Amino acid sequence: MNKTLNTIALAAIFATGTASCAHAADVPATPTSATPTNGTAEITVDIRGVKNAKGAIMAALFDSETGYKTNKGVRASTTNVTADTVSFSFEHLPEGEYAIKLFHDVNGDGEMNTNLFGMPTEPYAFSNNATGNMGPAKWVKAKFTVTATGTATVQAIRLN
Amino acid sequence: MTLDFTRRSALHILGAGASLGAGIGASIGAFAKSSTANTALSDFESFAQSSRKNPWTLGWRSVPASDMSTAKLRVVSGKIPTGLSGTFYRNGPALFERDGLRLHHWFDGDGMVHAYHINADGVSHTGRMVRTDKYVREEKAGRFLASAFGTKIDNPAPVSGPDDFNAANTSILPIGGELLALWEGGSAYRLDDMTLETLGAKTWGKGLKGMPFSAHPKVDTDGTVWNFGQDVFHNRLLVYKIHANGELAGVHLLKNVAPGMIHDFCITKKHLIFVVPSFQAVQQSDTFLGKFKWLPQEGQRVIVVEKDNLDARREYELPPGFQFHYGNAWEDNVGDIRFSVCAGDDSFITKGATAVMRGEKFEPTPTYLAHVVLYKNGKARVEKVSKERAAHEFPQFNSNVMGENARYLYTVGDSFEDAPGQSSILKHDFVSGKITGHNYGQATVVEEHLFLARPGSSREDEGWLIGTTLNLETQRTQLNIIDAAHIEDGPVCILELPYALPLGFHGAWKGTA
Repeated sequence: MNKTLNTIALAAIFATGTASCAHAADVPATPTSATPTNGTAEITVDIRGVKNAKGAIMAALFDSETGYKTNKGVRASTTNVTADTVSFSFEHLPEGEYAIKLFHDVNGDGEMNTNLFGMPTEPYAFSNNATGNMGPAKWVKAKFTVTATGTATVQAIRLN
Repeated sequence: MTLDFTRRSALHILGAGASLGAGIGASIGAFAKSSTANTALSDFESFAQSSRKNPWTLGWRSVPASDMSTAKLRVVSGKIPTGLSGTFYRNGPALFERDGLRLHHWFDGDGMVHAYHINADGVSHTGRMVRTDKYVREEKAGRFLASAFGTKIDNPAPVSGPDDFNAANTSILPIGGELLALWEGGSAYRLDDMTLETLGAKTWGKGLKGMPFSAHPKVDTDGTVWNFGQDVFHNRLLVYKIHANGELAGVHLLKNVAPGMIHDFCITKKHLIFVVPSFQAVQQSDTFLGKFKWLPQEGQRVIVVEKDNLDARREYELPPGFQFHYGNAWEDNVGDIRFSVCAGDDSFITKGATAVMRGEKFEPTPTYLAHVVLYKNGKARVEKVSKERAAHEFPQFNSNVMGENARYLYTVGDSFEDAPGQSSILKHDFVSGKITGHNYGQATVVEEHLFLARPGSSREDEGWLIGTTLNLETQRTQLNIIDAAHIEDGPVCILELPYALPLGFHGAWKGTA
């Protein structure tokens, strides 16, 4: 079941930083002026390694390095978690480069929880299973190309 | 393995091994010669080669089992003093090798916690690896996964925060019916205080999951526990105040704390004192330690805050330095603050603690015992107490005088009688200026000794020193109990484990009620 929230609060790991990242950032889930909605490509996200079968996976899709860095996403998705795997998709996308940031909102409060030093305390991941060094994975590692419209690109992601 | 343990070789060995083992940042002594490191060998090969000929390497061998126990330690001499009943806990890095890889830095070893249950009938020992998330994942993977404090691992698993490489290997805090295995940069781990079974990472309260909780909490005379957790990458430090029953009283964030590595701190009756050393996180690196650089031009800053008002802060400048540990601190009636410190530089943490892992000798700058005076007018002064090469470490004192003008300080150090090797436990009398002590002998590596006040005692030195030593001749770890008022008489009781344990760091005592 997919539902769209107005905003997804993506904190900590999604901002830039060295050891931890203190600043929360809101990602608009509703399409902005630059949001592509007219394509035919589709990205399917398969998530494994879910430790707690509760809460929701909250994901944001980005189509540029600038958007990725500034947390200005083009799509957002919230999927309830009822098992140790979760799948959802982003549809009607044009060809191009994309990257995904997501986290498991285990306690269902709609936010990526962090501790007082801004370090994430809920599981998170990036597309390509890209990893950062005590911070968010870089765009260059997380990006992937959606080439052919009309076919689904599958991202198999394991939660940290 | 047969060891050639002539006096000459013992001196040579202990110049290196014993001093390094006994003192973090310790003196190698006058006997060590500098060696040429064979960098062509891996850490694993280098240590294996060295361990075949150098008995001192015993203290850095990877522990052979994840759980160890002995129902009754053999009494080597003396008897357990009447009135001494409780558990002596210790923690230290113990697991150093997986899948042919040896950790590059001593501080990366996964922690093993030891419990010596002591009563008049005897002493038992239990040692268990702390089942940190890191340890459990690496056990399963059969290899090291995390580039941790000072070791770069090839092909590392993703790291989402410090607890992914938390080795829980530094100290122990019994509190609120729990036993906490302490690291420096991440969560404390909860253990069962009898079985040492790991119960999970400790979260003190909302917003505190995964927050660093240092290995040097201070227990005030009323049982209140103070501690800190540092975020060197964002120049901040969290202060914890915890009630004696183990419940969090509160936390407070200190900002604008320079990125110097803070390992320990001091408390007086009214203040908390944080010294920010000249070893600062200012560069990029694959390891945590690699981010730090020795910056003597930065000097050291001292941050003093009031216990009752953590926003009331004043700062002092000190000459350059880096140290692990402090002795007691106190303030006089005009408001000047004094504390003692085992002062040094970064040579052990950057070079010594990697050399021992390769089985190589290294000569770090010796630590010295100093008193620091923080005058109310904002000036500060360092008074050197010990001679240069004393290599004092692991300072301890009677916890009943925490925050007061303590007369005595106990350290592990080199000899008080110009004998070689760092094989002594020393008692500094700050009133008479006298240093007395006991030298365990050339083939013994001395670990931290705690001071335990005798129940109902009135004199400050009325109590026992309890500590472990590694005997390189018998290849056994020993537990020693010394009457602190008569330290020069040596242990009143020596017990022996049927095995050698890797050298550890810090301990704690929990008396039988």
